[in-house]
Amino acid sequence: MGQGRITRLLGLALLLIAAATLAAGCGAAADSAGAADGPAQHGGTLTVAMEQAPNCLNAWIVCGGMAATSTITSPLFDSLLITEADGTKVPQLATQVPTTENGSVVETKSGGMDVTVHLVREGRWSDGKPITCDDLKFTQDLMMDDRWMVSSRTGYELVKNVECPDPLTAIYHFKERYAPFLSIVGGTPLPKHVLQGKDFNTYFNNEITVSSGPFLFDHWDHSVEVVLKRNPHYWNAGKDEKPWIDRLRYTFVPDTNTLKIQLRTGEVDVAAVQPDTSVREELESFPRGGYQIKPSVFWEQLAFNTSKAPTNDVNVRRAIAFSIDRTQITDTVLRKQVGELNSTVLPAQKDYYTPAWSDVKPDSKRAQAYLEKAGYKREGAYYAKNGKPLTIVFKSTAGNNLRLKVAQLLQQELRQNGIKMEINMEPPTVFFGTSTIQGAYDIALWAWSSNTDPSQRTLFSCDQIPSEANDFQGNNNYRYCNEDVTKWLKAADVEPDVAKRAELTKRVQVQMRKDMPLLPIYQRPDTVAYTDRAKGLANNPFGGLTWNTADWSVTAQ
Amino acid sequence: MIGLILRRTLAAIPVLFVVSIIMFLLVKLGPNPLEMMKQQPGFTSKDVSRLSKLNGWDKSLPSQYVYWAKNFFTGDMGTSWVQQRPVWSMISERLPLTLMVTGASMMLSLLIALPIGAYVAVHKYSRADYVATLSTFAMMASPSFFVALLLQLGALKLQDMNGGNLVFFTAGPPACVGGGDLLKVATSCLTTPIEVFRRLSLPIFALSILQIAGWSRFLRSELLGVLNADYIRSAMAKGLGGRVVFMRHAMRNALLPLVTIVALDVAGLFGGAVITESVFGLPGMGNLLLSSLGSMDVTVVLAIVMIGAVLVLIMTTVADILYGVLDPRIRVT
Repeated sequence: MGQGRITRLLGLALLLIAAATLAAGCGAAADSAGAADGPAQHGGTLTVAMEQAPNCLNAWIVCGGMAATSTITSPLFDSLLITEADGTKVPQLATQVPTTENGSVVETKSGGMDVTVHLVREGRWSDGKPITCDDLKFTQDLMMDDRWMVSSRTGYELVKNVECPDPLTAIYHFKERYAPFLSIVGGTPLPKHVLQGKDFNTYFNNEITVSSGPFLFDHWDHSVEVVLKRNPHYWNAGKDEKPWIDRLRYTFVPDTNTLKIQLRTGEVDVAAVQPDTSVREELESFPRGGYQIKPSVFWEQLAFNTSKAPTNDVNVRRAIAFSIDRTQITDTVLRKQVGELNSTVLPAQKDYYTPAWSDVKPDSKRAQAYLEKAGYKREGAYYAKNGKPLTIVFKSTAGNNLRLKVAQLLQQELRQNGIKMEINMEPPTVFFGTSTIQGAYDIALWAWSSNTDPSQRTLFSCDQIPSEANDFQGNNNYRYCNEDVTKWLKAADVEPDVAKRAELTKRVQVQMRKDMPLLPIYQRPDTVAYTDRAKGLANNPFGGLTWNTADWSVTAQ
Repeated sequence: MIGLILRRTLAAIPVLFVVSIIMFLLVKLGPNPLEMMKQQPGFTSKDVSRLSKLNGWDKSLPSQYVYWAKNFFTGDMGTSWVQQRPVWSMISERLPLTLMVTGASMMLSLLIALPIGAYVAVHKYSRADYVATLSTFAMMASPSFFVALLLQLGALKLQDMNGGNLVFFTAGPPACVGGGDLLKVATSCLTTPIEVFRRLSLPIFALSILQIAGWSRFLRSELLGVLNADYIRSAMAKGLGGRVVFMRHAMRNALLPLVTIVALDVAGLFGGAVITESVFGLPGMGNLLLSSLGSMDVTVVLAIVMIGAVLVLIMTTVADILYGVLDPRIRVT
């Protein structure tokens, strides 16, 4: 009797699986992957998987500060300037990149500067309205309106006003000279005719009603997906009538392993994959897909707390730096996906880059000499002063596997040179919210994110050291103060001439290499993986995953 | 029974009050979550101060708590600082999926665990008992993320065997769960049962494994104790049939402690299954709680915790009432 019942139950289960298999066979045939290469053609849907869902769709306010929001909204909004993968700025809605050479940037007698931007005549919002200087002026005013939770006002605060001599010309009057002006005048205009009188803290949070980019917002089902559809009135469609694809669908898969499995099964077409040691090998084993790895704008660095012993001694900092084999870190932890970084400026920031830290190689003799210069003597396994072994507390973020691997390597390397290192991994909120800003560490590993502008005044100048006295204002968590460096950083920030600014920035790099408040380690790899259905992807660390969606297409079946 | 419900409700008020204060302090005493944004270029301490003020975080902790409590106990769960949306709408859009997955998993677990537990108790030390014991220990020892990964790899293999066509989706919710209205979601999902089955089979199964193992072992040990009791021997001596003795006397008594466990697990349904939801990319309550804790979104965390606390209270009361139903000797007053 029991056996008969079990047989019937098993039969039912098999029937259900058979039904699912049959349904899958019918439904998935049209979507099957593995198609051959072919020319770009119109139509189709590409699914982009992201590890995080956006909190909101308004990339300008604090809830839209995460990368997920910009990945989704970047196909909806064109900018005046865009940054190509090699770091070059090129005009999009503007006719040219403003520079001192082409006369668009003029210093004023009052110590300020005027930057003139010319808009392209063809620029249109998706509802047909032209993109004009009024939109640029409106965007500037919106950023400075105290009612809105705008994430960052850096740079906008320095604009006195935006003048519109004609609809296609905007003159930004800066109160003072401001070298990173391109991040303001090259930004994304917002539609005045749509947003005027609306609550900016909520209006664009759940839907974007108008676009200037190749796609339009279709819907956001908070639990499931965000879908964009082709903008049939795209102002920059060109003779190919871009964008190629009809729909761009975003799904959210928080687990990296699941995301990779979904790429394999073809449930998703495109994904940015978190950096990991074996990412390249895993992606190479995918039967129907490809990948691109490039150094990202996030750069990992070993920070020294210059305000407390033992790392307040430059010789100790140098001893640590010359104990570390950064090539071994990139070779073993990242299996050569990226190389070591030798500057706080990224190589892609070409004019400003100098590999100031390139001479910092593992050198035990030099490291030990620095320790002896600092008053330490070898006592057994470790160097010691006044009978106390040299012990360094290392801190970083818990849950970050790569950082833990780097920490373990550092621990081994320092031990070989007689320095004891204790590892303390903290929750990110504690690490960033307390330890770094209050200087509760000796050495710490974290990443800064750069954009195309090389300004680093908030990171390294004396007036940016967070303390109780200034209510923990500033990002100089190294507590590093060199008056010359501060002077050069300030000068660089108000120098619109690229050559002069580059000279100042390079001088800062060279001095900081001597003072060693930090050791740059590597640029985090930026990995994009895709199935062979997806064509036209070009990994651009400055522009994000979806910077060129107008060129994306689905391979001809 | 009404007296019991009233007493439980009154006793709950101070409990909820204390729970809310502890959770509020745990989240609020941490560092300012905006500090993490300073890794981004251009985001400065000035921005942290300006935005903290806009969010009302510059006020004292007691006044922040009083403001929250006043709103919460008048039915306003507040607004998430992260998403700038009402907390209830965030919860309501995630609840259907969580209830669907955890509810189905609970039913599946009961359907499998009860017969297995009963069978191996009756046939103790048989080959089936040893196999079941070994299997349940293996199931208990397998972390849910590991089981999930195995299931996903199984789905990949099944796809290869099926000519490259997917049988079971490895992640992501069915389209029918979007929207947030429980009734609409149920209606919509009923019209697409095959998609729901293909999407949710793996997470439901992954979630059930641990419950099947735990509940079947629990029932086995309870039944073994009951089957050796005097009243079972007396019932058998009276000439009652084995099936009647087992179902009316043994099972009924052995199920009593299991009722409490299942009732508390039902309350846990609301909280979702954090790891399973994360691995299978399901936007349920577990995921919401996890991300809200990460971003220190105190209004969302407090809302979920408070509703969970109320549910525990309700389910323990229900369990007490069920005790009375299953065992007439227990008077519920």
